[in-house]
Amino acid sequence: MHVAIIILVLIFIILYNQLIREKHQIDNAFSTVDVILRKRYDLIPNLVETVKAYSKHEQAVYSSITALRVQALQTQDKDEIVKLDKDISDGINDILLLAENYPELKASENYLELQKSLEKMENELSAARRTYNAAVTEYNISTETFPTNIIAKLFRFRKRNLFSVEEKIRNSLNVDI
Amino acid sequence: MNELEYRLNEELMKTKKIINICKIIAILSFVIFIYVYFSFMKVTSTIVLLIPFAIFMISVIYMAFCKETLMRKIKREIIDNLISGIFKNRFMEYNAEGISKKSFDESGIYTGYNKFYSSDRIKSSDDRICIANVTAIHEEENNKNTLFYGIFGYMETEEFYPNEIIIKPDVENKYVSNVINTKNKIIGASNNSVRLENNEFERYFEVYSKDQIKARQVVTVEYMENLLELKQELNALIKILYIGNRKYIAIWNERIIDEKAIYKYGIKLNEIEERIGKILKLLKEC
Repeated sequence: MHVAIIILVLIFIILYNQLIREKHQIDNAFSTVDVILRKRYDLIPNLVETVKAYSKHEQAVYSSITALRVQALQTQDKDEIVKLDKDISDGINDILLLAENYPELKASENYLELQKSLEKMENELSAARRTYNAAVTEYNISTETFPTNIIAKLFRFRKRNLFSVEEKIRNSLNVDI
Repeated sequence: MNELEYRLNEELMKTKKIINICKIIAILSFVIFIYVYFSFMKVTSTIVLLIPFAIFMISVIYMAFCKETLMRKIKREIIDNLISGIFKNRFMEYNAEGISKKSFDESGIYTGYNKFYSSDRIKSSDDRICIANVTAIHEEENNKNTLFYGIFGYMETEEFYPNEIIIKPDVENKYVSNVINTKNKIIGASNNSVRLENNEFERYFEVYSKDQIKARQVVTVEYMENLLELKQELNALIKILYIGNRKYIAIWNERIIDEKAIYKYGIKLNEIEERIGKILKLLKEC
């Protein structure tokens, strides 16, 4: 009887620790994504100003992405950041598509530099998102499969959201770095 | 069939004829030697016995010499042709001796060998790209373990990799892998394994790195698809290692120029060019 209880306690500790480890892996991966996202947010004003100099009548696009950036910089909620990441990616993609109509802008040194930085950042971001998604998938599987789901329910380990950003920006950027 | 292919195949046929004649002479002299030895054991002198034996030995040595000389010539001409063909933009050098043990050691792609052989090195003059045949063996008294037999190559990369990124064939039994992963989960140990989204890729390859993000920057979705495609085309086990400013590849059971196939089926320049093109693609694009 005592042995059975000791074994059960041991299993409980192992499973609990596994969930904690997976949770930390997610937090770790998320902090990397967050760092890169913040670097990307810093590029947005420069990108907007550069494109605005050539195309002034697309005010709605610029205002929208600027507002999203402010919102993203203020929030601390992970799910909100995940959601905003998708909207900001769409916004950046809209600006890049807009720039396609202005050959002079595309040839400007400032824009080319921005494109390179953005491309590098998108590659890093894509890898960081995938790392985060891999950690979340592993964690979500643990929270839903037996016997870890019992511990997960008991200690309220809730399911996490995945980043689901389409790689539109990388497709819009066609520079070689 | 182009002129070079025609000429080399002609030479190959001629040499094959000479070798076949040598084979017949060797067999006949060997039979005579055995016959003389057993029939006239008591009456014949050593000199009578030595004549067929000497003919046999000369034939065998001449056969090997002919084959070796021809193969060297063929390889040199094929590679010269390739250098002016697929390596157009880069100055490439051919060396029949292969790469040095030091170069292979530096990569760390395979360790623990005590016998090293290499041949047929093709290297750019700036040493940015190189491929060669390599065999690495660990040999003890009664135990011989081939650690690597195939094509080894390296290429300088723009990016610097402070941590190793290893992409290696998944040759372990899935059951064993699962047991190891579960054990690691229980004890909380990390084996630096990078789990990827492409199930097909995960079936054939394992990726390891201390830096999960950098590994995913290298092994992108397109990269996985390209590597799978090349793996299927080459039908070989492939190991890739990124460290420092270099990328190393090891392709198992492949040879830059397959002498056995050439000797057996003749020279098909297009096929050789296509295969080497695929190996270079693997080095450059994956």
